[in-house]
Amino acid sequence: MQTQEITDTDVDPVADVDGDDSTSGVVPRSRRARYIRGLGWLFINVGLFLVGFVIHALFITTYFSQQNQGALNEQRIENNRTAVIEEVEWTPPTDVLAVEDPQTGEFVSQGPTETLTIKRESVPPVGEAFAIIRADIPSLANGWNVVEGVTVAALKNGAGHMPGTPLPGQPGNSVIAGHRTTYGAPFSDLDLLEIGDPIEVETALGLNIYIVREVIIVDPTDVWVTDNRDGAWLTLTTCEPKFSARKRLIVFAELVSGPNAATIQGSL
Amino acid sequence: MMMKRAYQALPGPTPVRVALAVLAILVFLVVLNFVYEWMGTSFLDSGGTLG
Repeated sequence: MQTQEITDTDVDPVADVDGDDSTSGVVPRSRRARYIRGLGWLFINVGLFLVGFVIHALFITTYFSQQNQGALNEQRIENNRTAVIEEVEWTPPTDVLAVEDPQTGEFVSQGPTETLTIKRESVPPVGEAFAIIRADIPSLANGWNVVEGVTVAALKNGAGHMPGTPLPGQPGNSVIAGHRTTYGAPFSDLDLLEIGDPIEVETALGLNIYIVREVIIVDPTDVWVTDNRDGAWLTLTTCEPKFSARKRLIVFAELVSGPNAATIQGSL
Repeated sequence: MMMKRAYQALPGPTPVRVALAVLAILVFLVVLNFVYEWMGTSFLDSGGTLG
């Protein structure tokens, strides 16, 4: 009687463990086949992981973000109703350089002594909606709530106003950031804005209308785009291109109509 | 099969096993959500933040 010897190199000791083999006992299987099987499982799992990521990024985040808009609408209306609006004195900035005082040696600004009166609303709590932004592009046609703050949590709900910059409708450079791809993608179509297009931002003060003056692409580290400016400006920032956080798309728009527009324009 | 084996490896009677399995799935989903959010914010869409 002839017997066949099975060596250790061509036997898979765990081949029968998962029970998918019809025979009970060891089944010859080359080491190469086991590697290929393991590689196949790895690819399948990586594929499932990536498919899950795409579904999460494009659909699940947007679903929850849109579900929040109803509650944010109510929150915005309530914040606008309870916002403290006061008239404050405002001194327009000047381009004149500071000069050195010969007696003290200190640099003294030679800005205008004229003070104007503008309306100012109280700053809302971080994470809460206080304004709505609209523009004639698909993603902003119906308006998106603007919340205070640009934290990860705040931006899940919509566009976020950068703390430290003026609120929309105020003199200076008001900066609003928003998602381009995920969480409802309020700024998805920001690249469709062209110079001369209007952008509306409604706050507790009323309706402010800005006109797009410049659209640029910068690096994420170019924080100079948030620097203060003469007049009243709105700066919108989002990721560029779509599906990438490599660059930033920046839209600069100037206030042309609103509760403070005439006063600010008169100071220029 | 791997999931079946993992379930069978859980200790205790069936109700305890089911509870542990549900807990494990919830923990997995929460961790997966955090990983996806980190990946999305880091590589796909940071929300336009600067700096």
